[in-house]
Amino acid sequence: MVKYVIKRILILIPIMLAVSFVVFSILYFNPGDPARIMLGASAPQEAVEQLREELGLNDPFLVQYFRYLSGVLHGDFGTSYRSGQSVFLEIGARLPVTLTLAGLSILVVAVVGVLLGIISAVKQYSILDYVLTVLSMLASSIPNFWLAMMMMLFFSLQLGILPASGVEDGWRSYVMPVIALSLPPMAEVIRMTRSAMLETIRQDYIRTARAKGLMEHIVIWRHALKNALMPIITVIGSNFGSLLGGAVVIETVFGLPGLGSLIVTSIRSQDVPQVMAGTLLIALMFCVVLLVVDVAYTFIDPRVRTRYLKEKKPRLKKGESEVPAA
Amino acid sequence: MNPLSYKSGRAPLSPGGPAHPAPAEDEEFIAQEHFELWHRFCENKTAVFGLVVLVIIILAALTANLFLDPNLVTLQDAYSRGLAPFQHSEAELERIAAGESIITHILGTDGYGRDIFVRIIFGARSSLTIAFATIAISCVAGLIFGVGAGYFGGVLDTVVMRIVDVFMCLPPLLFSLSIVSALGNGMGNLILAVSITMTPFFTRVVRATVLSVASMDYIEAARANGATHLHIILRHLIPNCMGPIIVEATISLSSMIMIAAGLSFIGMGVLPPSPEWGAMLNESREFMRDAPWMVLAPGLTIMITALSFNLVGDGLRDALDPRLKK
Repeated sequence: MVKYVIKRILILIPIMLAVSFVVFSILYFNPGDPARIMLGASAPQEAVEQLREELGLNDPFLVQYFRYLSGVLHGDFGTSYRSGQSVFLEIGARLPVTLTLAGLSILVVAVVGVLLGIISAVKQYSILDYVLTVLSMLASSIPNFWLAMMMMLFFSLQLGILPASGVEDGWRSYVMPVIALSLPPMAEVIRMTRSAMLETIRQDYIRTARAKGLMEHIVIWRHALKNALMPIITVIGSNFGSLLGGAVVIETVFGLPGLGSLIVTSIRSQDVPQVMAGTLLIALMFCVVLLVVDVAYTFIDPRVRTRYLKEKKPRLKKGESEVPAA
Repeated sequence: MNPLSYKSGRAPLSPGGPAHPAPAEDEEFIAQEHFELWHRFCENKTAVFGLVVLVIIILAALTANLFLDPNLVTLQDAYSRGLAPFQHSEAELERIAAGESIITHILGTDGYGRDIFVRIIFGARSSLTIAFATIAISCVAGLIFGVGAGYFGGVLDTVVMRIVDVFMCLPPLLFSLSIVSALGNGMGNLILAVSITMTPFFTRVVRATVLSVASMDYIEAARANGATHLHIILRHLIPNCMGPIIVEATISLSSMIMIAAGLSFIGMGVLPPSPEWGAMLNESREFMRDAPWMVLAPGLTIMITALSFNLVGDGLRDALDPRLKK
């Protein structure tokens, strides 16, 4: 068990290295000249050339990548082209906002989504089920930034009960961003929970549980939900990615000083190190969540656990059967 | 194989379905198959509704030139800034009094005095082009990588899937954003960026489908007949994989509409003067308080389009695999 968790964490290292390579390569093609940006448009060409040489921008691509990588491994994510300070200064100030926003949103998605999904499945074909199905269909089709604008229009401009931008008002600043961010993924969680629960409820062991006289809520919560949980957790995990992507837009709409809005403004000002660090951090967050999901499988499903306890030959065999013999 | 088995309404196109028939029976067989598919699709009222809405939107986009003057898209009229729906500026009222026919702003005008309805219709061109082009590109790329990985397996499978894993660690919107930032703004670059982002996703879908189809008996039979790999892939494997892939592609079209709009909304895609729904929302943000119709119309259009793609996709899924619908 512990061995499996450690193994999963170790796999994270090469993946993050590869992600850093991908992001570095993409941003390498950024058209802006960092030296020109740092010195300003009026600086003489010789000074720009000299700075390029000092920064090592004339070195081959791979040399630059490995220099960046060794910097990262030593805890130096580079200096912002704009402010001339370590990118961590800005990121450190903005990380809590994004963490709060994403954390609250995924919490809402998981709790409310699963709850509504179960209600929908248990009361299949009721009016409530019908309403929830229609609403989740609508919610998964609403662009979150438009939803954000509509809420802003109603709650801030018309009613004036919630702040339209910034984080100065404590929890009230987060109400609208969290709703805007969590509604589309929640719709997907509701649909997945509903179908997974419906499938489980039809199983024989649920009939057995009912037949032996268990109370309905114990049948649903302890027997059905536990068996339906795997696909639900997978959907929640994979939706965390779209949630993080959505945060980029939502933070911009609400003017929240988070990582996402930092990335957008840095892209506009072609501040590559800042974009790199922000993007890598968000990718890391997503990877960690995917890892947590993977580990959660072993807690939920004893079958997965035992597979890893005596995982030697059986899995190899399965892999072979998937590959057609030539 | 027994053609009668089709009449029982079992999933003909799903990977578990009956074998792809010999070429001699092909045409009649496929015609019947398509007819039954269409019939099942039509039984689903909401899916048909979605399809009708989509056809209207696509026709409107294609024939926009016939009933609307393209010059109106960028025509800025200082006197008709911020007109509410069905409102006319004084200059326009005078011209109407003089007997000239003048366009009625059924959705009002934006902050530059451009007619919103005209811009939404012409905006459908860019939004739909982006959506269909990205799905086409990433589907083809996904087919190549997915078939390669799933059919040949072995080292190729491992390499492709590890690369896919790395790309899946980056939230889609963020990934597209960084590619657009490197390539620069514009519709072509946006299409390229989102296609690259979507390719790993489709590779996964295709590979999973290929794995289930490749173990079917008819693939084995074709191989025993001495068919080449190319023949098996093109004639037997891909046709039997198309069902799930088409469903995924249709549903992804709705996320494409939203990702494209989201990127344009934060100013990283189609740039403002050209009419794109997301860009229109971005432009109208500052007028939100006094002219809510400016943000209402483009957002609703995005939502209706995305919803229609979702409905059609769901309908297709049910029609292709009736076992899923209980």
